Amino acid sequence: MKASIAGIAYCLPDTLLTNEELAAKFGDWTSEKITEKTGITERHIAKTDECASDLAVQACERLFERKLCARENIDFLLLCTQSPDYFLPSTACLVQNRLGLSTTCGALDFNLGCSGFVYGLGLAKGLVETGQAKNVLLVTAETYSKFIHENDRSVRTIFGDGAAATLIQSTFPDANTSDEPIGSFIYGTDGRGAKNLIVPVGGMRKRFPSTDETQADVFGNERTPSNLYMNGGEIFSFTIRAVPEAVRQLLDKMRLRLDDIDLIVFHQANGYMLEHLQKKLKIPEEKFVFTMEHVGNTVSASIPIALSEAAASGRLKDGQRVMVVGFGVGYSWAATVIRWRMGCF
Amino acid sequence: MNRKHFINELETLLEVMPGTLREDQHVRNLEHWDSLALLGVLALADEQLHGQVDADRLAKCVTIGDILNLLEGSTVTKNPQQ
Repeated sequence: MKASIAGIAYCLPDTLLTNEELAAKFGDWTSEKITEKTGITERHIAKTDECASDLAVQACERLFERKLCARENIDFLLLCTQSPDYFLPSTACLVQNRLGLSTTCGALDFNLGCSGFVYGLGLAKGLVETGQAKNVLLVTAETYSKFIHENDRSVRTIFGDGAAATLIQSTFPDANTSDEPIGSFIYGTDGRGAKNLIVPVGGMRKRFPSTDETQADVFGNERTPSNLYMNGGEIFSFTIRAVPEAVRQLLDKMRLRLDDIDLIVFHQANGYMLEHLQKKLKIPEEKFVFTMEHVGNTVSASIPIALSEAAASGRLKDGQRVMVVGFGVGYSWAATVIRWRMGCF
Repeated sequence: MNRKHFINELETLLEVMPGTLREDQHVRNLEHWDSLALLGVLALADEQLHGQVDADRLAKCVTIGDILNLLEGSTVTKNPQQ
């Protein structure tokens, strides 16, 4: 049996943060400049009492509405988040209960950021193809906005909250193609980059800040040690090193050329970075997906949201090969190729 | 590396009138020197020099000349993939 993506649904919080609001707050960046540089016009922000589990449950309910799989048949729930409701228990256990999934269902959280969806696909494939599960619910749910200082425009302009639910099912191999529905994977990790995208305080290494004092960086962005810190330059440098190499490794491993891929969906990091990667890898416009204009960077939810949008707009069609590449915090990265099936979105 | 060419590139990036940027100019006094412009310099190094600039050192540059030195000097290392 082979693991195959059967469906994707997603959920965004109702509250919007627009470029106009950001421009009003950060006087020297106009709304147009934010759009031009980030490719984002608005992001969705979770309310104070709206957590990853709330978004996750809504995304899953939308998936169940499509009757692809009865909830009682879900036998494994994988939940990726870096903004869990609690340190413990796992958000996956809360979501299992709220969705009314079987108590014989396995459930776990895993802590990854922008690479999380692709890692989740790898884990789900492993569970399905070793016969441990038949219907895996992969949930990627993130509320980074809760970590962000209101005066830090470097991250406030980019990140949005959201959750996606992806159903991975056990299917018979397709006799018409030698392609696997979820192909080979390449993974990568370089913890030397940990300090460049981090929330320094709040975990057990440093539970509480020694000071709540707000500090400003050279560009005037303010944050406390409890807030998200991103060294944008270092993250950019990492990305332009790691992503082209990951693409090359995956193509080599799968004995494919870039021309053999129908559509390419990178983690939707920001417009500037995606444009640079597209140019560097010489990916034709028609094969490159950019769908973050109205959602921002939703971390591990960004790839399934982009897949869903590409399918809904007709760009992603039945039988096409889609390369997905996740990269970011850690540093961590992963890539695979999916054979898209009608009805996945 | 042609420094004049890269001054022109920086003028475009920093949205200043062509021919007005000087090497002794303090970069932080320029209206458009910000975290996005910094990414622009990194992209410039990658695209045109196929090299990589240390982002932290770039953020600490004081003058336009310092940026050019970073782009030109030993701190520009070839990307391992290229």
